[in-house]
Amino acid sequence: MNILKDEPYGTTKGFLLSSAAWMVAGSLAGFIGAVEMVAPELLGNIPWIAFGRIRQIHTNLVMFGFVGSALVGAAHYLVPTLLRTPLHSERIGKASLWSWNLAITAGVVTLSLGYTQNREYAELIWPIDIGVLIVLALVFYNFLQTLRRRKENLLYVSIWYIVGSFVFTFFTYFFGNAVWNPETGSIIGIPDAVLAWFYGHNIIAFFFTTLAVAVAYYIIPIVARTPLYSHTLSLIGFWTILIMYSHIGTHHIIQAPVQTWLKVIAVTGSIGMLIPVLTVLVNLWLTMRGRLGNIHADVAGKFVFAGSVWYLLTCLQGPLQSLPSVQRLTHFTNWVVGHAHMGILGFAGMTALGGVYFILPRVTGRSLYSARLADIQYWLILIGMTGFFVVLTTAGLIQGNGWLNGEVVYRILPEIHLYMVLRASLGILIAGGAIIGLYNIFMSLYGPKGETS
Amino acid sequence: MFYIGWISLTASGILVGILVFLWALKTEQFSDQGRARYLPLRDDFPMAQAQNPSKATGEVYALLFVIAIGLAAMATTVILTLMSLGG
Repeated sequence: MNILKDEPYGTTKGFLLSSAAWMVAGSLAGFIGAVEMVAPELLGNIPWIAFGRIRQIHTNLVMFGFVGSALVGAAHYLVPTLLRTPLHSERIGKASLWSWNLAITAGVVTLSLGYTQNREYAELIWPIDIGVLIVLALVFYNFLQTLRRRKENLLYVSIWYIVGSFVFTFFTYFFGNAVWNPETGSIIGIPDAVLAWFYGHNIIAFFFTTLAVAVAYYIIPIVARTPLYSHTLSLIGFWTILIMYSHIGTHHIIQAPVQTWLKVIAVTGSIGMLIPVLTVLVNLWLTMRGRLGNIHADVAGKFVFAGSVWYLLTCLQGPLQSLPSVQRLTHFTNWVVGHAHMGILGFAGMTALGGVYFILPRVTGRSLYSARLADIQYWLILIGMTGFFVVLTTAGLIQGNGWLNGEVVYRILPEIHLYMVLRASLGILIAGGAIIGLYNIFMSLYGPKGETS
Repeated sequence: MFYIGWISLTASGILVGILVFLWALKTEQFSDQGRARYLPLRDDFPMAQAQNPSKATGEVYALLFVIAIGLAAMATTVILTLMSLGG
């Protein structure tokens, strides 16, 4: 068996299938964590799924395993297609694919054994960090070489976003994980908090957001059957995201004793972030104007459009919660957990799934195994995500309001118990959707010829 | 003095951005924006088409409902914030 086999779109197929498998694992890990919030003793305190571990496994699997794999796989389709040039090396692509999956697998194993650097979204230990950095460098090299030999000189906005993502993510990951300190993966004290949230915010900004926006900018014009409303506006969005998004992570630690000037920069930049966000949404929605029927006739368009709606809500909430007065109410509560789910599952996750369902037929040369199953998955995730948002936001406001009125944590906990039950129940929808998606994607790749979509 | 490192990191990011921008100007990336709009449309894979493309579907109403819930949740957050400041 040649794991580096050179086949057309082999890397893309591998990443898309990996994404589907990791989505099942990640959502089940989240479900276990949610059950532990409802009944902490139910699972018998098994060490490797104790809440502190399963929560980190869940976030890493969903972020890097599910969403990351889908977006990186989509990028391996978009770059050669938009540049009208074959990918420089499918072998390097395959090496990236296997290294990426090895890093995620090692991450799950080490986190479940308690080996963690305990910095949010940067929990993976040093050897795995090095593996992730190697993958990012390999992907960037592969894309750069493809770019150098391109037959289409003009770079579509998706290419800008994709190449920019890998440059910025490499440096964000390198500095954010303090890889020059292998023992801890961190520096000391408040500077480490600043560094950790420089990383935590930028990995969302320059990996998930930029890659998801690249996918949306590619899919929407095709599904709507019309050119992009304005390419100039899309490039304004690209350049302003670099200016507005890169230095505002400190808004996550407004309550900490960080220098005031840094907090001021973080808050003002967070509000300025509305500029790149609105350029993307206005551009995409004006492209779709009068064509929503076409968008929803295609399951990929449907997922991407829903992703854009969650992008709007996430990016209205982001600046709102960066305001110190609002953060007094929401910080450390489930409100923030709801926001995180909107960003990763609602926006990036649904857009990534749109990318998966758009690209699969094009790389296999045949229609999806079942457009109906993809549609069922869409509704399960949309309903589940909306439920998560309502439940977690409500629970968060109860917590924040109670604490501000002097109530202690142990008196508030029983009040939000019902919401934790609802949260775990909604997790069944997401996990169910993930299992349906894995079956559909596997059968689309390896099953008998499917129905006409 | 940790922020010297933080500023250097941000400044180096801006510098890279400026260099890439200059490369884009040199290679005329901003010269033909009209054609750039059409680049994705080379895709000719057969797709389902709506009989009435402008008609809003059930999904659109569902997403309008999601937006309404989202805005209501944010309004509630703002109201509770203002009440907590007043108290």
